[in-house]
Amino acid sequence: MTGDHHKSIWLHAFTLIVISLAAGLCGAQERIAVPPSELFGEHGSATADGPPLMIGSVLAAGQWTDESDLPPPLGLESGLSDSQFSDAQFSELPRAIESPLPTLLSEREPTRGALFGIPGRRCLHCGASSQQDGFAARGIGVCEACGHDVQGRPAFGPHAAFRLGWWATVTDGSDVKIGEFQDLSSAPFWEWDEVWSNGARTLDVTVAGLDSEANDVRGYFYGPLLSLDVDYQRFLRRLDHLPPPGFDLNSGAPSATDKVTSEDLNVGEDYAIRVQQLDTTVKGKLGKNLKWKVNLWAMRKSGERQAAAMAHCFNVNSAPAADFYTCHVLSQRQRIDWTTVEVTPSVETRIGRANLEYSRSMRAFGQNDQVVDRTYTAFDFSPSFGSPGPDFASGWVPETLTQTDRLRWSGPINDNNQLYSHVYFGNTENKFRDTRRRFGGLDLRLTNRAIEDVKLVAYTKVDVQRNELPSEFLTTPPFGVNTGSSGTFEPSSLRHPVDYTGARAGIKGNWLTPSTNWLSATAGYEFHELGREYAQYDTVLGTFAQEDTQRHQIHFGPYFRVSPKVDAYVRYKGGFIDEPLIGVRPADGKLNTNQPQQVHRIELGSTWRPTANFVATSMFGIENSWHESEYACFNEDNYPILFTLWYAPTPCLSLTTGYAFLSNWIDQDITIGFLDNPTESSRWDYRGYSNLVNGQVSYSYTAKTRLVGGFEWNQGRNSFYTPPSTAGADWSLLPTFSDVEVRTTRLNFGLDYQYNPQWSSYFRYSHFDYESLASELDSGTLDMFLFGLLILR
Amino acid sequence: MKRGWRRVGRICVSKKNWLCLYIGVCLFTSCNFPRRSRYLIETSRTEQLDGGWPAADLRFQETENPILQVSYPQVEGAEYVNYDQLCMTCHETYAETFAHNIHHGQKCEDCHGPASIHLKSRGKQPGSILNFGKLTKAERSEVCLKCHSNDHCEPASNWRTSVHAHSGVACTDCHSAHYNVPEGTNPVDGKIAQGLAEETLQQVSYQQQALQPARLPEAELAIIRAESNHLGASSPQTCYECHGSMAQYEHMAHPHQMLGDNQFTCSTCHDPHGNVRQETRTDLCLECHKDAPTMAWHSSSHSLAGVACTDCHNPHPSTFVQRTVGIEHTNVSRPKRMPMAVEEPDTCYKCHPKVYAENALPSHHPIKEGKMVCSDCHDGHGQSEGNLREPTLNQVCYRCHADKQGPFAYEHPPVTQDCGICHSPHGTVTNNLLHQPTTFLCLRCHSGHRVGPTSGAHSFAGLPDTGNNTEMQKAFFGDCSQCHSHVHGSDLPSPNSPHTLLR
Repeated sequence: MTGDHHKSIWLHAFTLIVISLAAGLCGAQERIAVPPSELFGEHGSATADGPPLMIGSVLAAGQWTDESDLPPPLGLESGLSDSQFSDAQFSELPRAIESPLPTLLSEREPTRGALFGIPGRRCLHCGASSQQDGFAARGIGVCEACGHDVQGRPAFGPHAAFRLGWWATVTDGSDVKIGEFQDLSSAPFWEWDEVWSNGARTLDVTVAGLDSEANDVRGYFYGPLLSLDVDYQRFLRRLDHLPPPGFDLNSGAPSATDKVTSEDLNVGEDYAIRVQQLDTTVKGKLGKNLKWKVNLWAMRKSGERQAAAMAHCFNVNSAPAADFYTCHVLSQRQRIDWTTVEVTPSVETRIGRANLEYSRSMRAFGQNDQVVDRTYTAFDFSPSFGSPGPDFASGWVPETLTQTDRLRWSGPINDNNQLYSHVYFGNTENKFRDTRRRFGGLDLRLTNRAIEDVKLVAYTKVDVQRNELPSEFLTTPPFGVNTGSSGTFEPSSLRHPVDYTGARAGIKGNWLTPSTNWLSATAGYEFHELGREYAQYDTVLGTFAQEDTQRHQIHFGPYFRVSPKVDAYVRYKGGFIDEPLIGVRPADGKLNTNQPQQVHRIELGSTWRPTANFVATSMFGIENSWHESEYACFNEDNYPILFTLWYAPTPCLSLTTGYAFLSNWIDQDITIGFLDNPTESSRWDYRGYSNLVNGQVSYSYTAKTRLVGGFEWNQGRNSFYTPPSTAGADWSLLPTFSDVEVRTTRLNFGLDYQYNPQWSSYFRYSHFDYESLASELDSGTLDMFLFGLLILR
Repeated sequence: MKRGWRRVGRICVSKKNWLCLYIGVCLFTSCNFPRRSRYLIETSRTEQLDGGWPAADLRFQETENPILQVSYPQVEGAEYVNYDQLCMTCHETYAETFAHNIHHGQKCEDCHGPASIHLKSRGKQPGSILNFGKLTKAERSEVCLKCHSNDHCEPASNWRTSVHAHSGVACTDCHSAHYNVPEGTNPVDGKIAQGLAEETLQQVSYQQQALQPARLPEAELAIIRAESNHLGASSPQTCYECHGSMAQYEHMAHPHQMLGDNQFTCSTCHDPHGNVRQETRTDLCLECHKDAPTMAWHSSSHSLAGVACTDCHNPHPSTFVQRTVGIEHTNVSRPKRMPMAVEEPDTCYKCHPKVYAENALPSHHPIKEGKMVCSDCHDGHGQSEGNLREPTLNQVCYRCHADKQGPFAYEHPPVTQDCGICHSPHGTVTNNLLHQPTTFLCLRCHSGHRVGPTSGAHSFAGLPDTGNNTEMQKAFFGDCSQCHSHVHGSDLPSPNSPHTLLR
């Protein structure tokens, strides 16, 4: 991918956005009817008595500026008035409008706040009594005490906020895991948050500086002719720095038995990349039945990562001199700079009752990486053993260009049948090797609703992927090899990539009990075949040909409404797979796989909501899969268990907690060996599980003070056990080299205090502890404190 | 440091800077100062918790209220007089207001009960007539339902189980039986009277139509409703009387703007007289949203699972900025403001709590950090299999991980087939979202290295047997990807065996 391609795509995207914005603004100028200042506050403050009505009173102020404009009231007899009003109140209400109404807007009548007027009723939000506080005084039905309506929704609020604070951080240990997606230095925190509208156009903007390495910009514009959605963010992503395996050459000269040596050229360095992402969508209408949309998505990842390259038989310092078969791993820093830009214009039209959408996405991936290299001294990479050869590049990432055309169509065939189809085709070009992957597919679905309360979907889907061999070969350093035994390297070593043809067809549906909804059920069957070409692998034991995979899958699940307060469901999904993907090691011809022949999953769950302020859920699952064939033998079980609870004992206190247990148990025959060397296949026992406990509380201590707090504790472990060797080996320590055991603890506490309607302050404390029990390489603790101010208007 | 400057941390600030800051803050806060007399810290009940486990909800959000029926109010000892003229001698106002009322022709006693005692006492004997002001809410509705539960005004047939009825709302809270419709008045649903769009007509009456078959042709029903002018109940104004917060949507430009370009009113979507079933809730939205991205909705897994549009989309989010938001070091979680916004990922977690648990595992996509949301990978409208954004999982992953896209000259077949063979995208204990640590994961498909004295073309003469050498075990079974660093594919041949993805 060259820079010209990038420029071209950026230029197209920029032009489209400029044209779109220009079109929108031109249209906007024609429609300006209400000055922006009349949106919220000024109208709100225009009311003579009582607090301002930021939204609700706008229309009243705009339409009825004079009492004389009000239609004359009818003299309704007080005896027939609603109970919640006094006679005097009722007689003032114009219950009928004598004159023809010029527009819908002028039909507004002074309102009554009917429900709030019910004697004894209290505001759901603040508990104020309707009788005491006079809910209808504003002219719309909101609680005078707190400004919320009968559903507890706020009717009035600020439309701009500015937050400013300072994060103070204290860290201990490795930054990699405790700051995986964040900068850990003390830094300012700021945020500007504003929503603006004049009734014809809306602008919603949020700009935030979260830490020294993170910003978040979100904007939304809605206007008469177009809408624009922009989302930009940047953040830090720390990467693991894993010590290379084997004897560390930096520790001195290897002994005769140190056959795997390693060089870590940047010991103690932490790696990180910076991620920037832009997601912009502009859309509008070109007519009643014609719409357009352009999406621009871009992501840049730049920074440093660990690049490792391995060479067999690198003779280091001539030691051990007699044994040239020493494996060498070289780990070094690599600066990377990747940019992906995707532009997707689309147009959509309605033809009769059918909808048609065409889109074309163009995605370019470019890199400006540091080229890292290493030397090889044997195995065809050098002129001769023992003397270093030229530099050979490693850690190379190719630039690519992907283009996809999509055509979607949907529409009713008749009253009971609807058709949806999706056709796509495209290709990905590897600019470095000048190769292409062509892909395409068809998705066809027919939905039938002829039977009342039953929906049936018959569908078929085809996905095709075709590849090609490179037409040019790497025959010279730094990428290729110009020496070595013939047939080992390009072009003869190149193997045609596997081509895929996936086809599936099935039927699925649901049924709902008429009128009562107490029972519903879903069920379906699907046949899937994944065809492969060029999936033959030459091994020392002969050629292994991967067969096409067929899968039959069924699923069904009733859902019960046991009572208005209790839901329950059972789901089952089963798959029967023939010839799943098999893993091959050509060097020894051994085969194995992690792909099952049968998969069965049962899930039971329920929700209990006895009152409006209490919800409890539970879920228990059994997932079992296995494979027993001449190639592999394993059994895998998962038992997810999950409970959640939410309880709000008072309107000011909310509690939530949850517990999840996720597990993964595998018994599998694992083979270690090489040809006629001691080869051993034994049944390994793998255990993976995690426990997660989470709790959170939110409490409005007073009308001015709000407290939040919570915790999360997670313990996860992935490990396996090996049986005693039957071939004279000692595998007892082997599991310890890759075990993972992690405990994380998060605590947080927050306090918001409101000094006056415009000024608030907030305090946050967050503690995060990442403890790696297996390796202790990544353990660390982070404490963060934030104090800040909030200004509203 | 210059004179007049002060040091704040590492920053030197002059008096001029302080003045500018002060003026800026004052300008910011002085514009449109809301003069609220009370403080407005939101209470917790209606808030989303900061970072807590999202509260699940009943899957079918519409409640199945029992039938609400009270005994019909009676006037004891009274008899029907059947003579409205007598009533009009005192209540002469109604002679005029009934001129164009939809109830014109009905007798006073049809609603107010037998009036003999009332007339005899000239209205002075209390309780001698059905006075709506003294009836309970349910009794008031009961009087209306005497006729309207089973006639052309179909909506009322669902009233007894409606949320409104169970919330203590009476028919007369919104409607006035005596509402006068002067001749020539534009009907509330003006477009219907003008015979404009069939679509508009459908929208207005859709829910009633969906609930039970209309007994009159739809057009005729619409005209009746229009001519009656809804007995004074005009949406959205009547609705604001209780749902005052909805008024904000008149002044926020957006596709569903109340009385905006698309002429939305409350009744465009809501039926105040009853509940709607989930299918109906979805169909209502699809009346307008037939196009992308909902083209495939009916065949989607969400649709088959009984999910309705409003289970995820909130048509009434706040149009204000929030006073209290969830602040974390790398994330500020603010409720979405624009209508139909989906609060991701919390909305998804309500039905997929297991995904929440997986995302809390040590290795995860940065969803909880606010850098990603579910819809970055998923399309809840089902345009692709598995609710993915793209036709295949790999195409979804390639967007952000284009470096692993290839096509590579030396590929790893499981990578090109399905990323999910090795990775669990929602979260894992092991690094890099791998199902299991690399050693075990790789050994599930490939045999492990055990080198030692042997002979032949692939011999590893000189290397010790890993089975008896701890250092060799560390090297070969610690992390396969340390040596096979290009496990996703490579364009460069590896030493010794070009396909081994070592370089």
